[in-house]
Amino acid sequence: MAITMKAILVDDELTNLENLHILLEKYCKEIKIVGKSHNVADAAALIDSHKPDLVFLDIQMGAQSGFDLLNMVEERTFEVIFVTAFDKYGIQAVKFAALDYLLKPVNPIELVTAVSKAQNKVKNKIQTDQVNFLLQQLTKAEKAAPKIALPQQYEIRYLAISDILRCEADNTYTLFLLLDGDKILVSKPLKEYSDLLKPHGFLRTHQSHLVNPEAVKSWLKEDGGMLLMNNGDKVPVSKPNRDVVKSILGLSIIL
Amino acid sequence: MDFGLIFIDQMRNIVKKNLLSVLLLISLSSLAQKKPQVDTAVDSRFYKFAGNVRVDIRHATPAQLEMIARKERLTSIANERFLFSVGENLYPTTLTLAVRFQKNTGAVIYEGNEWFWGETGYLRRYLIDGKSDIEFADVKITPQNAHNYRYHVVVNDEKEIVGWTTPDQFKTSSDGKATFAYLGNYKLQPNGYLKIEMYNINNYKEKDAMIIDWRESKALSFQTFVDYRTKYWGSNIFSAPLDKDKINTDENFLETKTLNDVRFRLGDSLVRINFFSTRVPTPYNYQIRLKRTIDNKTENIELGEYNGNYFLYKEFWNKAGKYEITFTPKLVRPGGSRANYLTAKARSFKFTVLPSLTKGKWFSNKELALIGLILCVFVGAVIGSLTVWLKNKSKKKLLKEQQQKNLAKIQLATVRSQLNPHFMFNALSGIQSLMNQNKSDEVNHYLGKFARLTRNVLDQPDLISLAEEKLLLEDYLQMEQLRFGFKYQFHVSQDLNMDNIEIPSMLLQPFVENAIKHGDKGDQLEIEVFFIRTGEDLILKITDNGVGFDPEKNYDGLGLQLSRNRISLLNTIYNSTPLILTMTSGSNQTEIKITLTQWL
Repeated sequence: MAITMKAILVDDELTNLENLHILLEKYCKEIKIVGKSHNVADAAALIDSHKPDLVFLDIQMGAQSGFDLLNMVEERTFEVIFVTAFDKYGIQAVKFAALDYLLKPVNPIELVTAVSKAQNKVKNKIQTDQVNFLLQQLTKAEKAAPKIALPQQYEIRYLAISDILRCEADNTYTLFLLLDGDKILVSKPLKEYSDLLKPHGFLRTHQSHLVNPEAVKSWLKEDGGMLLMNNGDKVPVSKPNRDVVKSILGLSIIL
Repeated sequence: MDFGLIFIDQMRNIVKKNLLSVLLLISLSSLAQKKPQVDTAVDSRFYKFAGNVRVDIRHATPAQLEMIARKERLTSIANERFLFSVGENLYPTTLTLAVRFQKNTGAVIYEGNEWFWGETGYLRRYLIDGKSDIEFADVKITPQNAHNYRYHVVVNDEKEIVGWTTPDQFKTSSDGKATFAYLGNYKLQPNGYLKIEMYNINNYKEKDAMIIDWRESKALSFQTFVDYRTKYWGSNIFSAPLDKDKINTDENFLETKTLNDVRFRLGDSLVRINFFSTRVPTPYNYQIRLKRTIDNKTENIELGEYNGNYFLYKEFWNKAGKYEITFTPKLVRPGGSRANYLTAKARSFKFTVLPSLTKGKWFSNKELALIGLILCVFVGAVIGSLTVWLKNKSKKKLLKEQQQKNLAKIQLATVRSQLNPHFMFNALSGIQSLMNQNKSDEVNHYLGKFARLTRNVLDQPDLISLAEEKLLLEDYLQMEQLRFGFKYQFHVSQDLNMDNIEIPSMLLQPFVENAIKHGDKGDQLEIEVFFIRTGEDLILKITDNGVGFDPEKNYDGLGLQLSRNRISLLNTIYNSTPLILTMTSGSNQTEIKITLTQWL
């Protein structure tokens, strides 16, 4: 049973606001649009007065960003769906927090999926602090150890990236093996996390394996190439990746 | 930030002129739609193309008018069968020398490579296979400006047959619209060449030159060297000639004494084989292919096109087996029509690679004993300094390898970005037609697909999963179905993990594009795409039932060339698991196969 959700749309371009309005009216009847704003200040006021369930938020809005808006709002009791055109940095941060986002031009199918996910959270009163996590990560920037949010069925696990030993693919699931021996299964393919973690130095050694280079103990020659991890796990290195893995590990050992 | 703006910004980088002109056309035509003007607006006499832009000559800028006049002049002169390279958009004072060949001699004319001539000029070259006299002209020179120019003509870079002369003969095109300088008729130079040079004596930077070459197209003449490192000289590279019959046999990787039977013994010291062209730049490009037979399996690898020295790195021959590299001259007809590969003039170099010896490569037993003794004496100091030295050396080596791979990556990015405009604009026009039919649901649907394709092109990911590649291909195929009626089908091996296996992105798209473009069967065209696992190999295959092509000759579509270049660059990165491209074509079936060896 769908419940009606109050939504506010924020985008610095009027045509984009209009377009999203039309798409929501057409494809998501359970959404009631209570306000639209094309700047951060007005949007903050709208949120304070309407207490929406859901905010569609553009990331880049001229000099200000959707993240600035979230920082300005004191009570963040609403779900956020980010909407952005082409913004690697912003999307990366949103992905690390496992929050939902849509890319412009908005694809109606993706819109419906994102809305029904939000609907599910609102209906079951599932409250997460992913937005807080996102804002923290953004302010900390590169100083502190970066963290990643892993969505579970009823909770979100937040991990320091340096606590990850390795990841293993299990079809469309990814199994995280942590330094302390803990295991977490996440229902997203390894490729997603490989894309997120490679910029942090992680190595894709094999179609099913992603490892933290800090936790590699040695290179084993058996079976054409294996990595021995600090906890004794052996991780295969497939042939196309062998040169890359060797050179990265070689470099980090010598340097 | 607005999607449109970013999109335009990025696209502008990718397809500078094309996009601008398309956008201008779109905006012009939409303006014309919005504000229909009365009667004269549709009179085609007033609309002309200035460059790529259609303008109303009643409101054109002086620059546009000049461009239109120049184009009309060049069109008139081109009707006289003169060949020249300047266009109405180009800088109007270079590339204006023109040449005309004798009619009905049966001679075949090819365009040679064009080279910079000093800082401001280009030296163009036409190659004549046959017996044709020629005539020279210059399309920028008129009776009014002729006094500024001087030209001369030289045979074989030796004898001046026309000394420095002011152009004084003129011709008028048969439509009477253009008068230009005629620089005379010249007899053919058997086995020789003519060079004409033209200068503006008030500004020597304004110059132009052309060579007409009657010499027979030759096979590439190269000296062959093997490049190697020695243990004692660190990163210095040495060359040993292979061409002479007495090959330097001091190096232990050569197990041969004659050119007819070159054998390499695999070892760390080998770097590459160096084909040193005796004439650089070569007058035309060579296509390079490597045939290798390893464990009784023969494969052909495309190494691209070159016009000078060529290095065959060891990465391509690091396994024991038989190898043959072939350089085939590629001649291009003026006007960009199909190229001729002179297989009769191809030149090959064969060699054998022997497996590496596992023991005692560098030192004999005596030497080892001596070194051991020395080590005993200087043990502390030597070990200390050796460690530092080794560290530096391997660090340098790794950094160097890394740099080479980075370079290959950069080149790959350029090749990839050239793939874009092909399908972008086709897709846009498909969406435009839906828009004009007011099918907004479908517009949303296809716009989503277009956005996904565009994003992939702009992001240029090195690798994507098979599942993503399949999705993008489907996006592409469905967009093309907007324009052409054809059927397609995907076949995926059951045991392929589509989400987790990664491959270089958009490998197949150019071939799918070709299948659609050249299938030429309308609704009857069926395209099948296969993702197959064979042992450790991953095979990507496209078949279609279109009219097909001759895989030995008709290799010249831009998309195919770019794909071949891309594959050879990828092979420098994945040198131990090369990608192999094979194409077979019959009258009813064309098959393109990319094998990613030992990928899984």
